[in-house]
Amino acid sequence: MNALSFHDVVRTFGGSRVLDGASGIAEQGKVIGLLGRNGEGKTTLFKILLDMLAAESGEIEVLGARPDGSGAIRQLAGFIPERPAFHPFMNVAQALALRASLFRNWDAGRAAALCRRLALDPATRIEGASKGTLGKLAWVCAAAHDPALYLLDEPTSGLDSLVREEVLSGLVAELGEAGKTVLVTSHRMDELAGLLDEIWVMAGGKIVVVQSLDALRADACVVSGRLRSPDAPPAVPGAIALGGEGLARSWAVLDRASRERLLGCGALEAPTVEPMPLDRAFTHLLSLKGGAR
Amino acid sequence: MNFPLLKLELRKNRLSAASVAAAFLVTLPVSRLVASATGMEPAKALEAIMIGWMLLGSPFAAALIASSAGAATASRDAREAEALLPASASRRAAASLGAALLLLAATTAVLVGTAWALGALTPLLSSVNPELNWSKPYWNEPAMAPLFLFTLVDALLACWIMSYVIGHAVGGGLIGGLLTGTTLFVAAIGYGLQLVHGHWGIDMLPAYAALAAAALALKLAAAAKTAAWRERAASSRGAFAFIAFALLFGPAAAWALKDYTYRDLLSRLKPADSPLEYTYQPSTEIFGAPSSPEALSAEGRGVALWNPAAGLYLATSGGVRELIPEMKESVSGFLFNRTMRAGSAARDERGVLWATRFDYSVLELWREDGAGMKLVRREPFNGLPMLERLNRRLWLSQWVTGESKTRYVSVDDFARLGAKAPHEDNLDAARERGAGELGAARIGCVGGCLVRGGRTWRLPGRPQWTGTVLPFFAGGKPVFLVPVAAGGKAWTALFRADGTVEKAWDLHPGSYSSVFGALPDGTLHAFQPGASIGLIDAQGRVSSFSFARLRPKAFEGPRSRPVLVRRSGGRTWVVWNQTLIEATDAGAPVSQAELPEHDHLRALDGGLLLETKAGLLFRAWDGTTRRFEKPR
Repeated sequence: MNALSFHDVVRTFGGSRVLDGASGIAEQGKVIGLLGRNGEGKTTLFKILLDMLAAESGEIEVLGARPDGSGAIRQLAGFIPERPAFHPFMNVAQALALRASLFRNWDAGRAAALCRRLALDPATRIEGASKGTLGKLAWVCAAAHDPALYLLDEPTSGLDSLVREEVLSGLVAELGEAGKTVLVTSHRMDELAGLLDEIWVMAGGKIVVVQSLDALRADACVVSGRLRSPDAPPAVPGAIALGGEGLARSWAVLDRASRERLLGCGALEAPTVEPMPLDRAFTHLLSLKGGAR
Repeated sequence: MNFPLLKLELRKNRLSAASVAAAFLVTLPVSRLVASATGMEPAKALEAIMIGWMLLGSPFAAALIASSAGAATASRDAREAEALLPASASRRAAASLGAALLLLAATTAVLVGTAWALGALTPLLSSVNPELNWSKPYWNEPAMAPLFLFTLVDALLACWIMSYVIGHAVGGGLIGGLLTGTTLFVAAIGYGLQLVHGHWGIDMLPAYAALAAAALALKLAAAAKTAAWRERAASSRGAFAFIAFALLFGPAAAWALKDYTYRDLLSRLKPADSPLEYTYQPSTEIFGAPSSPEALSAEGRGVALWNPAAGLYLATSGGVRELIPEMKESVSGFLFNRTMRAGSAARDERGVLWATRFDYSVLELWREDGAGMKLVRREPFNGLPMLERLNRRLWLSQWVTGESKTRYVSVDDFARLGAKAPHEDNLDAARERGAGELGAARIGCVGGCLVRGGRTWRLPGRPQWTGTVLPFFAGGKPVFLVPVAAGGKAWTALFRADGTVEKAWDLHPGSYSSVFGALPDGTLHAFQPGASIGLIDAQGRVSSFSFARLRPKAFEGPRSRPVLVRRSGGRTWVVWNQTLIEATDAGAPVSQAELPEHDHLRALDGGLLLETKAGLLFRAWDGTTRRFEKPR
């Protein structure tokens, strides 16, 4: 069953077409990393999925509901924005109380437990609170009504290392284990690598790559070797030239077919294949698929 | 019920409301300083401050609270903080507007409550000039209460919406205040006209409502497009619903209010008499107009009634039927606030019913034709300024239908006058001509005789008036009634066409006039303030009827006057004090019955027509009563 699906979603701001036919399907229980350069429309996509923005066209379904402007979808999903915002005249407890009166499935016990776990004092005033405090509060607000879907936009931004660890190895991991569907963006996706089931790459207003993390982990590698002829470096689709000295060359390869094509082209003497770390694989994914923008 | 968003908005905006209330409370002791600085009495200084707060402070408070709330809701901080809540943009906007309304109500309550407390705790308000009483400017004129409420609400809506649209409290408040001021200006013009020309029945509220609603629709449409849906596409259902509401609000409000003037609206806010469906209007004058048995008999068979939409109806013993359909309300009349319509009716000496009616665009003359009415003339208003034209036409219609001194002119003359309004001189000539045509006589011979054409009657005493004497037609011939006095006695002298003069009935010493009426059979009756009623039947027979010993004790007094309503089979029926109907036989009471409370009554051939608060009632001679419904 799909927790989330969207097809051919378009949204422009001014003359800029930020989403240009974006499509994707998230199966229930999957933890998905959404990769993309700044300005590729990740946050816009999240807001549209949460019915905070209207798409100009396209089909969207979130946990069986469609965006209609009523905000009802937000009863079903938890969202952590990149820059959490709350009413400055409130304190943490009041911000939570407001949400408790608006969210049908709000669990005050769960909210209190999350506060304790994240070391968030309910008496803390929001005006003047640190970015980390607001981030923790955002986590409590996103999770206290125990939604089936989480949309996390840079969920560790501003958190100190201890809390970051608690969030990543604790909260996000538990969400995955509990069968929640998670769509997460991060500029440090490597931190989440152990938690992800799938990786989506966004570029040009579209989801251009959907790849299982297991496959990426197994297939992403660096192929090295000496060129048989300096005049004919191989041009293999899917192989990213990394450079080299003299006739020695290296390529980053992200899938098995590209690796086989590179190894089978006959241009290399004694080629070697080394596994590629995931952080580098994410970087190469972005440069390969998102470099056009 | 729990309204978390409303509570949130109340909390967000409490500062502005608290500021207004605090400013108000602070100004009260300041009145002492004002008094000492200006030399005013302290009470009057306080009074002046109260008036200032009521007239200017309340609208200002509405503008301040609304613009603050609108701008706060539109602010980026608020939108970011609230966008994640499971509530639509419309709901959040509605909560903000609702909170502004509640806060305005709260500050107004502080204002009014303080004034009441001052009045209760001190003799302050009673000590000041009543004309300066703080509440006077609002509630002593009918139009002010609705105008005040409309202004407050309009200021609130305009300032909230404009602040929301542009996202700036001061700018939005200024633009909203300008919009409200514009609509208020239009209303004030109407209000002023109403004060000056109250008889017009100025119908400004529909125009004001329409204008305010149109302005509101524009504001809401702008808001829907630019503000409430800043982050949503304009095609969302909520935006469409909001715009649709805004566009429909104006016509709906105008339609709902179109029948009410300020006075009508105010009368709906307090217990009031039920409005009548008809304007009861006797369709002929009995004395002073050329009365004939034919006219009186026709009037006894059916009396003309107008309704507020200038529809003419005929009430007979059998019910009410339509003679002339209601005047339709024109779009231009509505837009230019010319919705007043009026009519009048009269019977000529042959008993033929004539009717004139007008609105601000057309004047019509109708004449009875068979069982219905036929339109004789219909002409637009043109060529003269509106007011002059209106007055002239009003006067003309009165002239046609037999009011006041102009009643001598036959209605036929009106049809001959042409489209141009008659000049006063022409009118006098027409009046003289009409009087001659109608067979009027005049007192001549230095008050010694009555002259008509070539015939002269010698007066048996000193006449009690001079000038023209209109005839009453009896047995097809004119007779003239002139009150005279001689030797310390007064009586009404009757002059017949054959030259004879006789005493019709005695007049009460010191009173030389009679109150005339007519019965459906054509009998003329004249009430004498003393103790009798004189009668001249359709054949010219004269008699008198003494009621002195019939008068019930409860009805003794100068205002107690019997009204003769029926003669049949030797019996006579009179109505006492609009309360009791009594049948008499040979001067002795036979039976009595109470009548429903009524303002006017009219005798028809089958019973009494009673104008009551509940509408038009018909009481048949057998005592059964039924309500005359407006024909559908």
